[in-house]
Amino acid sequence: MKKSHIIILIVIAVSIGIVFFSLNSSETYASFTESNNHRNKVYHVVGKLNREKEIVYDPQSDANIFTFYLIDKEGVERKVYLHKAKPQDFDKSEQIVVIGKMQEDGFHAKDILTKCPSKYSDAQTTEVK
Amino acid sequence: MEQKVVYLGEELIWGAIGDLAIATAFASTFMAMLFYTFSVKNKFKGIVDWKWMGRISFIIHAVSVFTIIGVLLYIMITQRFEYQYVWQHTSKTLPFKYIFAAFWEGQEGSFLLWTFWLVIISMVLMFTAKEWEGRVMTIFAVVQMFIISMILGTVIDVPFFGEYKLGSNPFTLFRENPQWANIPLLKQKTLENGIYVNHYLDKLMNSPMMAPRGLNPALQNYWMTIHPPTLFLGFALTLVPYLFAVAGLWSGKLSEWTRPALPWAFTGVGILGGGVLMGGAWAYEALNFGGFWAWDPVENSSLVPWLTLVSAGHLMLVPQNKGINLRAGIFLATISFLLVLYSTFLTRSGILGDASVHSFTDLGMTGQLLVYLFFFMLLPVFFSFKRLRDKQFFIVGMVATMVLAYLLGEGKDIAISLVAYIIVSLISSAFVNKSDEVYYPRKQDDSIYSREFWMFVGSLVIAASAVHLTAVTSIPVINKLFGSKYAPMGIDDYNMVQAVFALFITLLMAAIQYLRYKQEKPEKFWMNIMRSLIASILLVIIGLIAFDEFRKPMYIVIVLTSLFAILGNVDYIIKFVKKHLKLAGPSIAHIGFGMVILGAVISAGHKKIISENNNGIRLEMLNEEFKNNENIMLHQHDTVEMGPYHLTFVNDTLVGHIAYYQIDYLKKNKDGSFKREFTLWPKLITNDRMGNVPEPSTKHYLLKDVFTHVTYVDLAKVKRKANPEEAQIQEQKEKQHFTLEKGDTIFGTSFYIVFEGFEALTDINHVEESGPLSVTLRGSFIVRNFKGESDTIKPIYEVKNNILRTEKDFSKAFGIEMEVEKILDDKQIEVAMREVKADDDNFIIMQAIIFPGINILWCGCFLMVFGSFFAVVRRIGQRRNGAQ
Repeated sequence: MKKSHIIILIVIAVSIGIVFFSLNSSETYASFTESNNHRNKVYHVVGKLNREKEIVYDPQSDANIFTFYLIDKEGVERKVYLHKAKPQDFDKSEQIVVIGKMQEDGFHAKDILTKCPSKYSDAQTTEVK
Repeated sequence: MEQKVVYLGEELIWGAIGDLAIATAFASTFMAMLFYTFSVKNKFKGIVDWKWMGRISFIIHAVSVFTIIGVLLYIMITQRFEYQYVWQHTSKTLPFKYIFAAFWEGQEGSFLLWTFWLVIISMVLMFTAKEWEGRVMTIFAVVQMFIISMILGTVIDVPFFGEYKLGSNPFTLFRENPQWANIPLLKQKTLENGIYVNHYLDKLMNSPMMAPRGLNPALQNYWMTIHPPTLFLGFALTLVPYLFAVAGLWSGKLSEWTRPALPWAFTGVGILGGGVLMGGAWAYEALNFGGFWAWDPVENSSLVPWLTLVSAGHLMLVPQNKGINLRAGIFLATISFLLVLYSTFLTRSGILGDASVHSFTDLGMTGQLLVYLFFFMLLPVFFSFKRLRDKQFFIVGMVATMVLAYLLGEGKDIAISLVAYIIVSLISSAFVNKSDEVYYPRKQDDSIYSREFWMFVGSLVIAASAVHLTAVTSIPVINKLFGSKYAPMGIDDYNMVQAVFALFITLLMAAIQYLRYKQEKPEKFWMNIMRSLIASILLVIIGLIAFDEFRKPMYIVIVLTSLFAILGNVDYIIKFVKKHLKLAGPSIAHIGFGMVILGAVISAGHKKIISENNNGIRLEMLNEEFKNNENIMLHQHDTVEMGPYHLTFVNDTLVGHIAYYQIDYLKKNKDGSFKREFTLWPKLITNDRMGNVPEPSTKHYLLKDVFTHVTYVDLAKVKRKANPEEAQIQEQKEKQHFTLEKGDTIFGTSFYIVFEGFEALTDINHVEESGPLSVTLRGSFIVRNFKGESDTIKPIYEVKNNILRTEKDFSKAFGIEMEVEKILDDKQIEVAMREVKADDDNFIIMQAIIFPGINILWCGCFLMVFGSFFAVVRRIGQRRNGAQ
């Protein structure tokens, strides 16, 4: 076997390894229920904002906490604590993805993705970093 | 029976010219393909000069494409809103300087931009490709046919399958858009002089719902003018190595094709690299994620073709390429173009929807894009078959696959069609491998100390990095395929893996040039690299001593290897190229790339968020994992210490639809006074339809950047600012009346007021009973809030010559106005209190970050692009000299 063939095989093996490693260590989408069952794992929960309930952002006391109620795709509702500033267009958002862990008092999110509907232009996603 | 309606004010001639040009462009490229094929085949020789026929067709094609672009640009400039594309992307108020940005904001416009560059490249290729012209231009014509089909907009009636719309025509009329079929504006008709007429075009302007959309305000900046053309030129340039590689397979000149393709490949490396990094610069300057690279799917899908092109280019450099090297070179040269197509597909099929900051449109061209992708994937495989019989079998398979791809794509079974894609590519590579022995010359095994061996290894590492990026970017596709629920990767996950690749690449970049082709002199090699290696290690040790935060092992290793890459190449220039500076191009480009990696690592590793607020964190929220205090609240006129600065939010102003927030950065002098260092103007671009987008502002220093970004503002405030009269009414509450005694308290919403009593300003003990009453009293009211802050309000009550005069007093801090209206008797008084919500209440939530060393990265970008061009220019010069 030639050296170059060995190198090719090594690189292919390593690439496959890395891809699988990346996928396995990747976070996954889940429901609140599933997230509650694995409290030490980070999940992405997709859901809709409950507009009936309170949406609290009080930057006076803490600019990095924002709370609201989210109903996930299974219809389960949980309080979400977002450890970030309130996304600017949050009130308009139609679909929300929160990234974080379930805790005793609710879902603690480190990040959020909001999808805003726009009437005649195409849907637009804004990521808040 | 439906009456014919005349739509007044439309100029349909432009659409007609445009359509004619599109048809001509399509037909002429088809003819060019035919003529050029004839010029390649010996059979048809002698009848006509087919090559010239091909050239003429191609020139007609070029003229038609320029006409399409010209007409579209013209109707955009003259604002002919009867055309859907113009209505969608421009508006009455759009400044002229954004007309180009608006032109390529849309799908059709971006295809035209791509075609524009392709046509220019085709003109250059036509007259420089020499013996390759026939084959290269034949394939080029096919590419153009596919691209023009994307803007044809013709509806084809396929038996059994129904109607298919081929592409999306930029000259479609506004009223032809099925979306608007039922809007009243188009339905209205009046009978004038016996004809039904409709005046929608005049009314469109003033219609609140249907006014022309214009360019998304977030895209209204100069980046949108310069970034897409650069990137698309880069994309267009990836085609040329593909063309030559396929032409090489076609003609059987398997290693000769690299010579003419090489300058093109590295021009592509320079421009595409510049375009990709320009995207990073745009993100850094104008987007809100506080960095220059976020591993967004769209960023990745332009980075991946660049990686494979770099990889292919370096393999093409190896002289007398043979065996596996050669095969890898052909593969990588073709895959770069295919990946551009794949990324076009990914970003335009809507499949990435949830995973990206960029917005995607699905114009229903998924099937077409897939056919496009499959065709150009199978084309090199087709030419790999030597025997005609194999080819015929293959053509049948090819056509079948593409029909399948189209149907699956149109049926939105994107996942299945991608499985088909993978299967087809596996089968075809197996086929090619079968005919391998006859096809690829065998060769000796490369020595471990030869340059070609390590170039091969390096190319594979880059390719592996591209594989990782492609796989991870395609997570939404993987989810569709296997029903898995993987979430898109975070920035850190990407960084972790790609850092390993960067480590190997920088290491190889430092060392490979000291090796020679087909030579084996280990001792000399080690001696040569020693100097730069030792220098880099010393620098890293100094860094370890100087910076406490410089501790993460991976981070230290990459700083070391990228320094080694920079110094190794500097050393190479000093040692070997000094006398022939013309040869320094590659080394300069390598220095640049090393600096890009170094700058990226340093700025990310030493990034310091100075807006961190460590006071007033609610204890119950103190959770290590979620600890986030990056955002801080800044009241107007407040001064808050942040890192080395004191920040003041001075003012906000609304200019058009952009709200600017003036933030002064102050330095504290020794005597305690403040000196203004600089002012930043982060902004919020307001737009109800497309979202309110904040845009950061950055102060650039040589060694660091100070980045400020408004994360949240009260939109109601911004709106009030836009309409101040309304604000007055909204902000003043009703007067409230109270009857008080000394010591009584009034409770407000967030404060309470205690009446302390009166203070006489005139002598009240000697009031003359007989004369007119004259007395001046000053009331004293103490207002407190629940935080313990307080203020005193002192309204005046005065009677002079029996005439009552009262003077209100106002507490600025609390926004409370008090007035003593009447003194009832010795004890009781009547007061009026009013809360005035002052503008002082204005606040913003913001973030301030210091990025050090980002200039190393920009400097590296420049060197990389410059070095690539330098190398290309020299190589073209060398080819000329060689020919003479």
